[in-house]
Amino acid sequence: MNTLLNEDQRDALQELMNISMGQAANALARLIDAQITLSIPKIVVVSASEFHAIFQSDNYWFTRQSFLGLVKGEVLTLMAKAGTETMGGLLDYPVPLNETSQDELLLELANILAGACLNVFSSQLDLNTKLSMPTIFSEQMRKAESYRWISTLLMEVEFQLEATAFDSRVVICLEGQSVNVLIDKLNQLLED
Amino acid sequence: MELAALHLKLNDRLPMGVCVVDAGYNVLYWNDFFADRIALRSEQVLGQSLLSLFPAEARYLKKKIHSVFVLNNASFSYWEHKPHVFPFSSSRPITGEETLMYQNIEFLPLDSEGGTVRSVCLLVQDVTELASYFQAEQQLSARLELEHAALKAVNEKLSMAQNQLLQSEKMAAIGQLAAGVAHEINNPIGFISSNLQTMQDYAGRLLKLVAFYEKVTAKTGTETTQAMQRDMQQRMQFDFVRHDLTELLAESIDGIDRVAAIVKNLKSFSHVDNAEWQYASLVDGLENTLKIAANQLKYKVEIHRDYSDELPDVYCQPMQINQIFLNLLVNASQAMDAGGHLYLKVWQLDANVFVEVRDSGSGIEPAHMNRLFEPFFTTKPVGSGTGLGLSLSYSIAKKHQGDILVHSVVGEGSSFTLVLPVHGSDSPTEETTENEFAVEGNESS
Amino acid sequence: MPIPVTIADDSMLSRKTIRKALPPDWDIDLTEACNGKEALAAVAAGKADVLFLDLQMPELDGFDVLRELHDHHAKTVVIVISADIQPEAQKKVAMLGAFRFLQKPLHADQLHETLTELGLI
Repeated sequence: MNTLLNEDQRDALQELMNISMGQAANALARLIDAQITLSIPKIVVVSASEFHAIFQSDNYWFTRQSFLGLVKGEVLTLMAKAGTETMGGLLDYPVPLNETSQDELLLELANILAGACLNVFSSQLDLNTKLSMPTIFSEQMRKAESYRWISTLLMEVEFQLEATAFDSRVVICLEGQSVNVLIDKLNQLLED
Repeated sequence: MELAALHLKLNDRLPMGVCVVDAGYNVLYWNDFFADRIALRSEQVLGQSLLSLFPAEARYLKKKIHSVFVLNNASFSYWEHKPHVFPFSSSRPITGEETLMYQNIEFLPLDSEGGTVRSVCLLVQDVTELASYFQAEQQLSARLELEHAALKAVNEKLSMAQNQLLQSEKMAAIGQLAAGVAHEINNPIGFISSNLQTMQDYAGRLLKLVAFYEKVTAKTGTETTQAMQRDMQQRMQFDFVRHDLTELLAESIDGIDRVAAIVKNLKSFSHVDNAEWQYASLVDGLENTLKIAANQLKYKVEIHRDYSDELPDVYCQPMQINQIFLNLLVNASQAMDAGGHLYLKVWQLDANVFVEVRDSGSGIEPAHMNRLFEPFFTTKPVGSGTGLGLSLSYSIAKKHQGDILVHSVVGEGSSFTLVLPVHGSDSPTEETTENEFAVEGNESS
Repeated sequence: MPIPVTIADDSMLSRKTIRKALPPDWDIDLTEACNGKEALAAVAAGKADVLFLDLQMPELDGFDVLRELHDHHAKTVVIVISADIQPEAQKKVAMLGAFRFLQKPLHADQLHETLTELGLI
């Protein structure tokens, strides 16, 4: 499955994710007047149990949202628990956060980062995706065996807020058929 | 009909609010969902500022809409965080409990050109039913959690009670054993005591006889016989024996008297002797019990007695009344860990005798007052109290047609007063079984 | 005389996008570099009077290339084309002597405008 993408396709996908991440970081950086450190996008095919393992971490809060369009899937946003208070302060939330304001903060952050990421990604490939509102996601209770799929294409970018513990990862996951649509679109981009 | 007109008609039938604003927050359009609730048609609000149409939440709306214009990215408002952004009334005016509509709102960039957003669309969803369902669910789970906790507490209490019952039974067995032993050794003590007294008498006579012989020898004996006597007395260390014999006997008699007294106390306290109804002196009962409880009270408590003269005997089961006294005395002593004063007062009023046991101890928390006589209620550390003492005392008092009155001030002390009718009830309640009282009789000893 | 132009970007797609956005009638001698080292080599070889420079690259990144050129007073006209468009990155690039900063995704008309402003076309 790791040969799902050829080298050119992988290069193109990585560059598209780079650009998406840049736009998302810029949106957040301007909002809080700080600098965000970017990572190299990760593009991997993961099994259900590998996917499940991501959400067993106690160090992150999670949100999820769905998207529909030429491709379908879900975006998951991981936000470091350690940096939540700092982030709350920068975004003018009353700190210390209570349960409600913390949820509100996480949803707003996820919306900014995941929203910008997916929108920029989708518009570069004319995928015309529409993103639903994020919700808090708790995966701890689920079993890896309960997923209805075997493997999925996972595209991940990471944002770190300089000089703080805040760290966030946006993970875009495509549903089975959509991977083929994506590959077609990448080929078009590479051919013309 | 034209497609555009159809679209507008369709918009007006949507079960959600649709409102479009420009970069100046002015309304470009809203559908009937808004119009029906604000009583202003789309044409009437065209160009008006959304912020001045909804001044109460203007700041919030501005922040949300502004972020869409700036970031070119959708924004959301959740009912959990901001339930009533628009002051719409509930869609369930008849069947619902809520008065305001719970809303989820999406703020979408609708129309943009070259990265610049020109208009933002607000989609308002009525989630009142969902919200109230969710809230009911939460209340339910909170209540379940409470009930669960209560059940858990009851379970713990039950298992504690079971332990205490086992403990009580053990104590009862020991009590019966002690009473049996007391009964058995009463006889030997009796003849030992009487023999010792006889021996004291005989020893006196023997010493007198020896003294008489000494005198005779001194007057009539020869040098030789006198020397022989001196020699013999020295060898037998007779001078020492003469003194020690009296002392030994006096000590032994004193000792056996004390043993007899202890056995007598045990007997007068235990139910081996008298479970039957009879006229008995409450002062005697109180004093007997004090002796039993002496080692609890000794050294740290100063006892003050105030007994009226000419108190009548009271018709009762003396052993059980003693049980009440014992509980009251032990409780008083435990309330005065650092020492204090114990006031015992017995008096008569009309056809009742009152026995008050008052301590200068820690007192009882008001919150505990009405639970005092509950079985298994105890404020003592686990293991040191069974929580049965006062409840059993109370049931004994009630069987005697009497009562126990409590008065307490935190930090000053508590007073418990046993009230008993002199002649008992006219028709005594059914006889209680020996076993039932065996538990009571020993639970605090 | 065609102008020596180098595109330095580790992404094949990105290099292609830039190449395609160049004015079709612009008379240039085009070189492509996949990292900072290759970019500096192109400059040293006189193949980069104009350098389109990405910031995130392996070996030497865009900032390193700019610093190197700055230190050696190279006369290369550097146009940064970057995915990281945060204010901080733009400021840093300007301080290191880049002529222009263009965001990814790159729009052809923006590139033309920039080239016109700089008098390159």
